[in-house]
Amino acid sequence: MLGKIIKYDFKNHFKMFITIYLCVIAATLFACGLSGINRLLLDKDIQVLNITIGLLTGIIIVAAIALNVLTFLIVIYNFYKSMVTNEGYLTNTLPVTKTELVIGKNIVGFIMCIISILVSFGCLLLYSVCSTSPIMKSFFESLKNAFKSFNMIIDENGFSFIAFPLILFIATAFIQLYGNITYGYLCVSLGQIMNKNKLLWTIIFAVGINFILQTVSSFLVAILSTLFININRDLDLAVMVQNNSLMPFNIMFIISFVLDLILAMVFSIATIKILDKKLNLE
Amino acid sequence: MNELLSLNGITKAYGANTVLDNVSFQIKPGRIVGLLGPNGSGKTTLIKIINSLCTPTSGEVLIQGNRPGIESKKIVSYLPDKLYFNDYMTVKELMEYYMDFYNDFNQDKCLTLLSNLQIDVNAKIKTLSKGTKEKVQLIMVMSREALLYVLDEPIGGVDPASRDYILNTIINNYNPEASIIISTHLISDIETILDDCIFLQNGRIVVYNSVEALRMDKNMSIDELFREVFRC
Repeated sequence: MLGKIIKYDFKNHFKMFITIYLCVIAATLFACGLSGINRLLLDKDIQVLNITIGLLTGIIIVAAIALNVLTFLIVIYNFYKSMVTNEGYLTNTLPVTKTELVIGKNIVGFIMCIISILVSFGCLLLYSVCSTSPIMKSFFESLKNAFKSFNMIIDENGFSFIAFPLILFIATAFIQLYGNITYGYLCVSLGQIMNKNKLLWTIIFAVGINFILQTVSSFLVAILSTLFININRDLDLAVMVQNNSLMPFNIMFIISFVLDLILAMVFSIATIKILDKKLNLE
Repeated sequence: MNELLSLNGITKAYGANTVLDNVSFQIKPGRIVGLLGPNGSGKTTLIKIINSLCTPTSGEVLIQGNRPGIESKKIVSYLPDKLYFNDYMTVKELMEYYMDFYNDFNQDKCLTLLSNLQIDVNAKIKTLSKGTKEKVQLIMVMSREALLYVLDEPIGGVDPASRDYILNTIINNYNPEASIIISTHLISDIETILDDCIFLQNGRIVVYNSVEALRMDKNMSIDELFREVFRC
């Protein structure tokens, strides 16, 4: 049944997102086309074209960032809509467990966020290749340099010592993304317990839980930094590169990964329990 | 013990407000039961408890011996008093959704009912009128070969001309071994099809008997009895 939950939830999301993706891609292609024209007419210095490209660059950068924020919000709203509004009368009477429902929707939300990241990054990359805008050119150069430096630091076994922390960083980013979705679902499940203004309560819970988490994590980071890492000595990147050791970074990423994993699990279990025992449909 | 549905001492309270107070009754297979009562009497809460959309404060619900959960959801077909569709779906996609999740869904029956009501299977749900959406929802629910149908206001939002068709749909499309619980205010429309009726008032059962016995005993129709019991 988990597969069926994923199938229908993915279909539902994709129908909504395909239009947004096509708009962002179309805007990027249009900007690329304009940049091409601008490149051909470089010696003419047409003011209108320059302003248009400047505006488009701004729009594409904002759209790329907004796409990811929007995806997250839509994923959480869809969970709210399908679980605790009228649609919940169908979703919650399907012969599936709450665990399957929540995990299925978590997986779909995560996949949609990843697709949005890929689309927005792809669009930025494409535009940075063909754009005449100085901002996009410097973005492309930074990316090229990052890849170059990654290849340069390779040991005698052909293994880059950045590879391990890089893998840890990506894994931590993924688990954080997954955790953010479970956090959103938890806030929805808490908000629906209230008899009125469920969406407003969802937002209040989101702010409240976020405040608690930020406070706790600030303390935790401060304590861990004192115990394991001397910021001035250990986090000197030049020294680390010289010693071929990124151990302090690795420790930080591992701790962050484990904590985020625990949080994601706690959020998911709490959501499942609340929806199972305290479901309160309108 | 061959009860299909058994409620034992069900109480539901929201803080100090008791919505259901020690409600107990049993329903055997093959019965059509009217769940009747004025607004706020606890009918919808009771139905939500049977469908595990709400947890009782105390008491026990058993559906074919199982507590509300996956096993009960496999044999209960529920029509809420709200439209629960995802508007972006077409009627065909909704039918496929039901087929995917419910093993007892009868596609042929569904297509026949849709065709009888001249509902286009390729139409998007959001393009349908409210009345047609309600009909589609009822068709989906009645196309299951379930053991217990729980229908909350199935004829509330449709025009009088369609009510007879819907009631016929209900009567002609359920397994004789199955039972139906119908909650409605339109008593005169459904009283001819009822075997038993339950009157709920302020969360308590005030009448539970067979329709035939009530008519003989009180010498009045169920609609008249309802008006007498719940006179303001």
